[in-house]
Amino acid sequence: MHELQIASNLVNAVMDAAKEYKNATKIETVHLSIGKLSFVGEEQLRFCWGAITDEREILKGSELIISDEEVEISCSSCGYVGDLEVSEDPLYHYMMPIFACPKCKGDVEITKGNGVTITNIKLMIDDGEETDG
Amino acid sequence: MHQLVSVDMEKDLLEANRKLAGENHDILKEKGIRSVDMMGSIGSGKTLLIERLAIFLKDRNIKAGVITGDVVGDDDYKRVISQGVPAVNVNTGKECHIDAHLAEHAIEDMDLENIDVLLIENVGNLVCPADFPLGTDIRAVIISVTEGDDMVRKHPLIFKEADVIVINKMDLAQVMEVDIEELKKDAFTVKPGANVVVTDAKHGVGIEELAEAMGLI
Repeated sequence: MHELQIASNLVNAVMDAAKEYKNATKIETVHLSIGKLSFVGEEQLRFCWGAITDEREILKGSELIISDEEVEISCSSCGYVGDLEVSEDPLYHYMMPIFACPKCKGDVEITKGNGVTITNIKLMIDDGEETDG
Repeated sequence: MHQLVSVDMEKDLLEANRKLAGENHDILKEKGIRSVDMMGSIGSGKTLLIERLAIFLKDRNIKAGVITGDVVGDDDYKRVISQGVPAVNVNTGKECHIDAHLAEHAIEDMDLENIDVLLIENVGNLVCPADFPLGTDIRAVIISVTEGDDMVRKHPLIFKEADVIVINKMDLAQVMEVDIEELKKDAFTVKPGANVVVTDAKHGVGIEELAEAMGLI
């Protein structure tokens, strides 16, 4: 499934960012924001992340911190920006998103909540100076 | 001495696909080719609809080319070329969808000088293709009555992404006891103003309406 592809892109992006620091010795944490409308499964992604990072010294044991990104839509007709309306159907026990403007029923664009974004990484660097004592 | 450095960034992992999709779109647009991503569930009739569309267009002197995408095998590819329609086969291997990168290579292999329309058959899946646009003018989603009447409500996002929604196998609605109006109602709930076409690919019903909805004629 595509979590492996996403995990692979994630590792490449983190390695690219780490290359900016010549003396990076260890990636400690990676913060990732997953939009609630994206089809990336957190558990599957963690599994793939663990499998890939285990093979790379600098990434081994790195912590992947995942947060949800809320959905935001914007309407080009009336200028509404905000939450998505959902239709709750007790028969099916789940909510169906309605991709229309809650105010004027116009066509909307999803502006947040469908991406998979790296927001921060923390890495250890060796500045080459001896520790006192 | 070791020092912890915090680096804030905003790197979207799906951005690379969207960028490639934009490049695919530019290539096809430059050649004057109208393109459609045919997404849909397994067994919904994507391949037969593509065959019907290609033959319908051929009769009107509009040349269609097809990219057939499957996890493995060339069954769909063989079906399409047996109709005298040029095709390129794409096997995704492990992946559950065609992405813009795979589409790019398939487009490279297609004789773009000799087609007016490009139909890309995505891997049968109503989940993953939604995250991976290919750069086509139109994204279509095909479902059929044999999958039941809850397909739209179970996979709302892909229908939001769809410029055209196809409900196929209308001839089997009665025997399947599936209400096409129910499927349509869900489509209009998820996406008000949705462009819905009902077809029976087996007997060639609704093909002209579909070609029209996709802007192919």
